[in-house]
Amino acid sequence: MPRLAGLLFILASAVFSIAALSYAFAPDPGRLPEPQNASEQNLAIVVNVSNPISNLSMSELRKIFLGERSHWPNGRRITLVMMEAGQPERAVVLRDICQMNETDFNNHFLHGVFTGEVLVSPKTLATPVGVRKFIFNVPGAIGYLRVSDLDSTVSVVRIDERGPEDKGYKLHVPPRSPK
Amino acid sequence: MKYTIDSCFRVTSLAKLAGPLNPIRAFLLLLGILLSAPFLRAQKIDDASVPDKQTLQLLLQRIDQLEARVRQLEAEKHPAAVATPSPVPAQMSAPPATEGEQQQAETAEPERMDVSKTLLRMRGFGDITFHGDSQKGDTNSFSLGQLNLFITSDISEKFKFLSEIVFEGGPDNIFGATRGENNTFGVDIERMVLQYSHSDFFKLAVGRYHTAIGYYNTAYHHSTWFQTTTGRPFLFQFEDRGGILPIHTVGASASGLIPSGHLGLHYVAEVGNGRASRDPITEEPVQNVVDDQNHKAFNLALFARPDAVRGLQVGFSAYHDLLAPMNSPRIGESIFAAHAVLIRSNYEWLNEALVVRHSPDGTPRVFNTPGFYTQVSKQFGSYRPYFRYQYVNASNTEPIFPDVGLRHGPSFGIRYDASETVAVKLQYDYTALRAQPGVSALALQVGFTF
Amino acid sequence: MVRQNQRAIRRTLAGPAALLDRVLALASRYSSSLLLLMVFLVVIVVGLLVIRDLHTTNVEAQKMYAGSVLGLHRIGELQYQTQETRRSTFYALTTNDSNLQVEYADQSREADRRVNEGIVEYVRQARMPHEIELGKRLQRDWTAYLSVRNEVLASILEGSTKDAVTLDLSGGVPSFERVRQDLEEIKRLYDEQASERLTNVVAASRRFAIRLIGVLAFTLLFASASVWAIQRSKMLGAIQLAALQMEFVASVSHELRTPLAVISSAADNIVDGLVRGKEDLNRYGSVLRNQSRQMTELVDQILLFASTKDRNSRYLIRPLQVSQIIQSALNNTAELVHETSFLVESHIEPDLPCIMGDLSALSQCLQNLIVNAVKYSGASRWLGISARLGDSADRAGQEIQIAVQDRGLGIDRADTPHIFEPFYRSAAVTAAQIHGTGLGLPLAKSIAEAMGGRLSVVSELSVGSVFTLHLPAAKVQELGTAAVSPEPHSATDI
Repeated sequence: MPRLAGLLFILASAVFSIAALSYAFAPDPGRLPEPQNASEQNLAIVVNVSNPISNLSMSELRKIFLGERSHWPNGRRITLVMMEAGQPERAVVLRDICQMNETDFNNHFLHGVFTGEVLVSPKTLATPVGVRKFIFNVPGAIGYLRVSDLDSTVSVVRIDERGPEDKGYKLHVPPRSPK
Repeated sequence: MKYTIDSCFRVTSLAKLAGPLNPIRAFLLLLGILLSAPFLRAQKIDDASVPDKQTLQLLLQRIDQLEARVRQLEAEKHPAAVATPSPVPAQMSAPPATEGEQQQAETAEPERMDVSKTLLRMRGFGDITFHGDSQKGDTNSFSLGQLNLFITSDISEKFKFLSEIVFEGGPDNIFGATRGENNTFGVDIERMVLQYSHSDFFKLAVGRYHTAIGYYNTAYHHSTWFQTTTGRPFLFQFEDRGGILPIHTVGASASGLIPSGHLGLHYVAEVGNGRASRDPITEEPVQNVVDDQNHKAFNLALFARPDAVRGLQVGFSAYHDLLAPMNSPRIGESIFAAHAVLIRSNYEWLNEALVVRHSPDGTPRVFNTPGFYTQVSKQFGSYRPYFRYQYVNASNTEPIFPDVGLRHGPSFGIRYDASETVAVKLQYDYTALRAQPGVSALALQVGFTF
Repeated sequence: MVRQNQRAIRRTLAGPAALLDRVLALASRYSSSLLLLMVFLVVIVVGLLVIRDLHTTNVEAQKMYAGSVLGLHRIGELQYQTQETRRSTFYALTTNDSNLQVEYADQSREADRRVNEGIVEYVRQARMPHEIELGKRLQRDWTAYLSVRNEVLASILEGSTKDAVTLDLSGGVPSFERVRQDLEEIKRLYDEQASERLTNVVAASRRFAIRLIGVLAFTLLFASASVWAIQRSKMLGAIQLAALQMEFVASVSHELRTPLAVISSAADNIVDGLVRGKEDLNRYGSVLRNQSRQMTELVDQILLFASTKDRNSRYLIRPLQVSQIIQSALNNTAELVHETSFLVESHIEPDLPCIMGDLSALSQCLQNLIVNAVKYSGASRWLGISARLGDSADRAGQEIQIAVQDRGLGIDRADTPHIFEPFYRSAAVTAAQIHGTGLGLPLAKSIAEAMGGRLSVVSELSVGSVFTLHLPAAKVQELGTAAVSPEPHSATDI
């Protein structure tokens, strides 16, 4: 009986392993197809104007937004700025950059702080204006804003050599619902 | 002397409660738990932003104290400058709040708030388990797990403090308290780390930390809520619960990125006190204050997180220490570990394998203790079923942990996230032992964070 | 002695006083309104001076206010905003909420923007080199403080509170202290400038007050003098008129008394029975008749003169021949001329145009001239009357000039301007006991002016006088109108 149980267990392990492998090499479900709706706006990644960074790859961006990078090349500490949960911009970042949902994102940072990998949790601001002003004031800050919320106080970072105005830009956010 | 490994692996007879373990009864129990799960779903604590009156009061008091302290500091620095705000020209229309602020500041001044205090954050973790197993002598018990206070403090831009203070019960190594009976509680400082972060390429931590052997030891600490399963794998059990690995080290650890482009190479280099020999069993194997010898333990780990496969981490580590068991020659200890883990938001697959090599001085004999585990889980809404298989094979003549022997077996379980902070797990373990009957165990655990 | 001195003083003062009275009488005679106009002009000039000084003082006061008071207000505002910049920065330390921290950071930046604007405004308005240098130093120090403040804010927002406080203590406090000292120095400078300007304004006000008092005193004196002069001239005029009236009354009384005395004497004689025969009765009757005629003529003259002064007197204006007028006058004075055995030479140019006028009035006018020529001929018994055509004085047209000439006493140059004044009789005439009312020439002048003409005189003592009546020649349309409607016209219509 124990041997039979053991065999059954091994068989179950194999099944699970195969299932896991198939998921491992499955296409990344986290990336959604590019939206077709022309009314969507682009979401720009913004940094302080003193930050020399002008381009980041999507993988580098992901590492920054998951707290796996703590310093800019100039030595300044990275301060990640997020909007509050429920904001469409935050949803786009979680979906397209972090490829996590809200719970996983929060757990990731909690876990990261717990293990010591993540130095500082993200700052949370309520409004795009608050995000913009925070980034303007903090040299090491990085955040995101709709293109319509941009102004000259922040600097836009290109993603994979593409800016928000270029074709093929990867971050799109639905328009704001009218109040 | 038989050494108990883990409460989860203690086997007692469920038959004492309800007869021999019956698959039908187990199924009914499982069904009952699942049906009652919705009632266990706690309301989400909205810990965001609606402050209560008391909080507002405290904030206002803090503002007053802060202003008073700033004025005091300015006065100490420049005595003449303190008088400056007072003789305001008649033309200036000072805001009405200024007088109120000054009055409040005057009343707050005697309290002398120290503005230089840093921001201390505390997070708690805990768990409660109901478990039973088929091993003779074990009882079905409700057990309080470790109450873990996770404390961090952002001392400055470069420095950060982190600690885990754990309250745990049981007749194990207790920090600062006397060794007691089964149901007594002791306090352990499981981690106490001061981190210095110079850049992504160099970070230095000193204190007591989890040794960077493999993946699990640095990914999971003393909180069961973070873990998918109810407990740690055999291999990575804590020293005070009979673990075979030096889970904790007191020393210094350097880590950082290695410029490697998309490969995402990281390094960890550690040096510390190592641990006291496990034979004989000591109250506290982790040498928190005094090293029993001058030889230090060294550990070097490399791992990669390639951009090409999101969530993949593969690595290797090599650890070396010199153990000095009592009345025995010194034993060189080398631990080689490799891991390959794939973690995504909806599933995980953990694989680790290691070998512990003990080579006593003066003998050509080398005792190799291999071990591995594989763990996989998948998220379905709030439910995450999982499976783990683990294996360790220590020789009966193993000089340090001869009691371990051969242990292997699967674990099945399911985790249900009742809320963002509470998880309920049901796990079945079967452990096959060398020359002993296998042990079945069932555990129902509620893990939480606060 | 005292009386002699008093008499001497009176004599001394009498000369200038008499001169002054003569000047005032002259002024009042010719134009008291001119005097009033002068007073008005003086008051206007004084008023303009006062307004100019007031305006200057006002401008000075405004400059002082703008320069110093507003400047102090500006400094006060700068001091407040610099404190606001710092306060908002510290408030960000009191909270862990990033939203609140950003809000406080924003408040701090808004305050420092106002400080920058204030500093720029101060540098722009600075004029003295010391002010400009001070403004630039303040700008430098403020920029240095802001660089520290920005780092402090960044640290606070990143969560590094300890770093923020340390940075502020080591860098922010000293740099802010420098800013505070700069502001204090600017404030001190404004105080000094304000005091200086205040002194200037006070001095200017004092000078203005003195000037104003002086000007007003002068104006008061001048106005008082003018009013006194006008009053005095009026009084003198009235006195003169009263004197002339008294003289006229006396003259009329004297003129009336003589025939009345003769009449009374004749009546007494008749009553007393001294008249015996028809011859005596005829003689006494002639005397009574002649004297009563004289009295009647006198009264008529007075009444005629009065009627010429009446603006509503009506003349019968019609075209007249010059010869007609002269002949009428000669006829009316024939008896007088015959009695005095005068030789009248008359020379009238031929083809003289008609004139528009009243025959009886013009005849009376010439009669008066002829009677005067007879009265003042002295020993001469010659009288000349001529009429010719000439250009009018303003060359607007032609005029008829009828001249009455005598070779008698002549008129003193001093008396010439007064001979047309009512009741005026010169001292020489009075001394020569030549009877008259003093109304003949004024009446003639009134009639001449009523007919649209004038009366002129040329005379020389002991040589004789020529009185010329200038009358405008009638125009063609006047002749046509007069032919259509021969209604009497008022003298004012001509």
